[in-house]
Amino acid sequence: MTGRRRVLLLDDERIVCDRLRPALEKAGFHVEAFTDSRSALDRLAEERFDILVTDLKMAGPDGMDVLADVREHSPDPRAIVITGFATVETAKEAMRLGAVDFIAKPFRMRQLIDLIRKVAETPES
Amino acid sequence: MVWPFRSRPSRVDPQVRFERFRDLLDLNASLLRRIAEAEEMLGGEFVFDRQYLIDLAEELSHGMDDVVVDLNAVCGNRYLSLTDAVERVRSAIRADLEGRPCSADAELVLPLSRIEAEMDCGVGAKAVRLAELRRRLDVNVPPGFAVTVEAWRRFVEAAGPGVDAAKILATPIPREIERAIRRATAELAREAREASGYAVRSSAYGEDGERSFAGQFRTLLNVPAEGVPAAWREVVASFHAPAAEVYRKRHGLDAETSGMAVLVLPMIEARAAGVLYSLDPAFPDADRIVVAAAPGLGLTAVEGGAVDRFDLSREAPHPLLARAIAEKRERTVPAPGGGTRREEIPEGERREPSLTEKDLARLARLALRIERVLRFAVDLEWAVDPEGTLHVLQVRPLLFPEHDPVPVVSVEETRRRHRVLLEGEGEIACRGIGAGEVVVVPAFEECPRFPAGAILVAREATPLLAPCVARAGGVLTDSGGTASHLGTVAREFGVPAIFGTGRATRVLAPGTVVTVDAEEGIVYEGEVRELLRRQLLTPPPVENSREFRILRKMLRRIAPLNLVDPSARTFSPEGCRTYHDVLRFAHEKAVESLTEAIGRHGRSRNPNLVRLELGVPLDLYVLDTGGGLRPGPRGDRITPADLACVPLKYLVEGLTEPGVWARSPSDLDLRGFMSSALRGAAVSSTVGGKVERNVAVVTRDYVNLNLKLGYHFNVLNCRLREDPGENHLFFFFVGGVTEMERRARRAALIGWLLSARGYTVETRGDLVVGRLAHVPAEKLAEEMRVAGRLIGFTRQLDVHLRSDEIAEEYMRAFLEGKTGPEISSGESADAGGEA
Repeated sequence: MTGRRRVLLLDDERIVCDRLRPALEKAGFHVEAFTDSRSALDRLAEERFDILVTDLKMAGPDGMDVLADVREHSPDPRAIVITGFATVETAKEAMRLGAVDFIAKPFRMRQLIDLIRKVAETPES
Repeated sequence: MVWPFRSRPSRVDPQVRFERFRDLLDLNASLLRRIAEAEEMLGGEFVFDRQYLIDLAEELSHGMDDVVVDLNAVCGNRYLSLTDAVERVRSAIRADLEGRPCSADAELVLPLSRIEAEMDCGVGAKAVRLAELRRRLDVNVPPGFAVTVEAWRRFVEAAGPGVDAAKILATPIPREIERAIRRATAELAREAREASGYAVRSSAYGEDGERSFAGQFRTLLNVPAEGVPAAWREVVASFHAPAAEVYRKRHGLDAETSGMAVLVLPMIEARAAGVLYSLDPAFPDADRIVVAAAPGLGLTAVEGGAVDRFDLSREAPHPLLARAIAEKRERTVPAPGGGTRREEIPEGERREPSLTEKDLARLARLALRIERVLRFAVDLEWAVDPEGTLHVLQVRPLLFPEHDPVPVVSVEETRRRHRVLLEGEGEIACRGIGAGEVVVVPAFEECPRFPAGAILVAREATPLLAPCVARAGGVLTDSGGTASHLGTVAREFGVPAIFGTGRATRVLAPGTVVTVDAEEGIVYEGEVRELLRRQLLTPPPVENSREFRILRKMLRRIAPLNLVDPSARTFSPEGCRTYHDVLRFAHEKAVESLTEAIGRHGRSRNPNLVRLELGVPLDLYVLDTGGGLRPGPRGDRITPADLACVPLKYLVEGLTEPGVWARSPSDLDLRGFMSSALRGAAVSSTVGGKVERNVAVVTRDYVNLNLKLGYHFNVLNCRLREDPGENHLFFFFVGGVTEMERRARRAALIGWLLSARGYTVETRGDLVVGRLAHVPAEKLAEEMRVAGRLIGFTRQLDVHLRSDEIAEEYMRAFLEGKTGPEISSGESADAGGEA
């Protein structure tokens, strides 16, 4: 991979951000992490990101809202959604909304890193 | 094996019972698998959230209800009271999820020796950490006990509504609490022989966590034994003091979800005492240790009086970098009759350093050793006695409040700077970074004095290594998986571990220093400072985050297995303390119910019962509950070729291997013979055994084998599928011919042998219980063959075991695949195997 890919991470559970951020940084990504979707949307509007990793179930604008907003206003990042065990159906729905892939919690850190790499390196269709 | 309790004849259609039995087996396997997965979450490899915990609790809860229903369907509603056991566990888990302190299992006082990790809601983090230090390191930590949160709660209840400090001080201590404290103090006095008084200090739940509560609560020193209960009340009152209430309010805490435990330790007669920070809290990037010391009891050090400050290098031999010696006019010393007093220091001694350079170097080494095992920068309270011995009085993580995030060094960068010894091989059993000297522990050996903080390298991840893991700074094995018992131990202590590297013992030279990066799965040569520093400065979320703490607590109510011996009186619904106990109980009783019917009615009532012709002196019946035999017409006798049950086929392979049953006539001596002759009745009563037939209950992938061979009982229970997550093997062995000493020796050896093969083992007298879970099908197949050989082997073993040396020789020979030095020469079989 050339250059540091920019990843915006959004999950309202702090533990998820706390765990993922350093792991993704160590894997060579530039990471900005948010636990609040409004702030994340603001940031997405002002900066370009390669990858958006977002949880689906959140208070306030949820993952679906974020995806819809991103599609409308900031088309750059390719989105990966994080979903709970019970919401795989929703994840599929999210993919209809433009997410390119999804990962179900609980997952191994390595799985997400591999998935981000795969998504980052796949040429846009 | 049939246990004493007999059921009313069941009127349920046998096919329906079999069906429910198979359901129960499936449930058992899937729930155990779920539990094992949850245990793996603690390793830090996984990302999970609160919803996962809720789902886990829910799923296990429903599963357990189904287990109770299935068991009662198999047993004719004999164990309806198992519902209560499930409910007890369920409500405790609910409390964990809601963050309520656990009252169900709290005692009024607990000695440090009985305090374990995750008891923090009962005894506070301070007590838990001291107990951990005592257990894991050779550090002088005084003995002591905690008066629990439960005692506080009962006292507050007794004090009535509107409780505050003044009200607490005016309330008489409830008698049960006073008695418990007095009893514990008397025991402590016996243990700490020269204790003249006691230190009584807070260990509040929530203290020393993300919030330090430093200085919020009272500490009383040199309390005479008779004054300990009143001192406890004083410390408790400080919890309700206005200052503490304000502090809690400011940090969003309340007295309901926290709680006050109190620690009682014997006083150390201190020449000097103080605190130590393993990193400079103000300048964490500076590579130094900071020590503050004062002569006497050192109370002044924490109260901000005149203290000496020493800065030492973290680098051995820890030279002194700077010192500031204060003019110390007074020191705190124990007052006669209790309490402390200030004593004037003679003019000429006031500018003397309170510690020698030798003391300081020892203190530095001690702190770094503790840091290496606990894996965070530490804030220690210590004391040096007149003989120069160091004592640790308190340890907590050093907090760096406003410190900038530590820069992350990418893996690529670290890899460029340091030589990689191992990478990408094996599985991470517990995440984290550890560095230390490589100590290779030879196969199948125990290592009782493993050097604290060293990197444990071994061929197999056997449970024999568990005591070493608790002291290690990291663990690397050639083989073994994360779901092994050793993996659970590594996670329990938070020791970075990579299992199944294939070649750690070959690549890593004993005595060299390595850094284990069990986050990326890399082992580097030497110490990788940037990784270690990062770990010290960022307390791992694994230990601090709420979700991990809740999961650990939940798992303590779910995973431990307390019901191991089915003949014990506690093997009852009331004895079930965890979900695992419930599963074990249900499984045992279901099998028992199916096999006891055979005992009474034989084949006439059991068309699914057939006799298996093995060609060895072993009478074995097979009860097929579905899928365990090849379809097609057959009589009441079958051969191994008729078996469809996969695990039983492997067992039979081992059992009928040439040589296994060829034994020399038993060389019982007269004493042994008399003893065995007299023991016949005793053995069967030991396990309530009325085994009328040796029976294997089977399905296609499951076997439960009950054997009575001569005088010993053997139960083997195995589920063997493609998916390792569903696999287990349970090996139960008890009794035997000859006197207890030999039987116990044999039990110890069987236990040792099973441990060496990766089982989790418990032995008690002549009872051995071994468990092997979540292993790949291939390995389990081999273990069933070995178990088959072992059954034949143990049949004769005890009568040869005249000494531990001979016994060990036999076992080693067996492990190496031989039949044994002495018993391999025989010709005729001993027909005593017929039951």
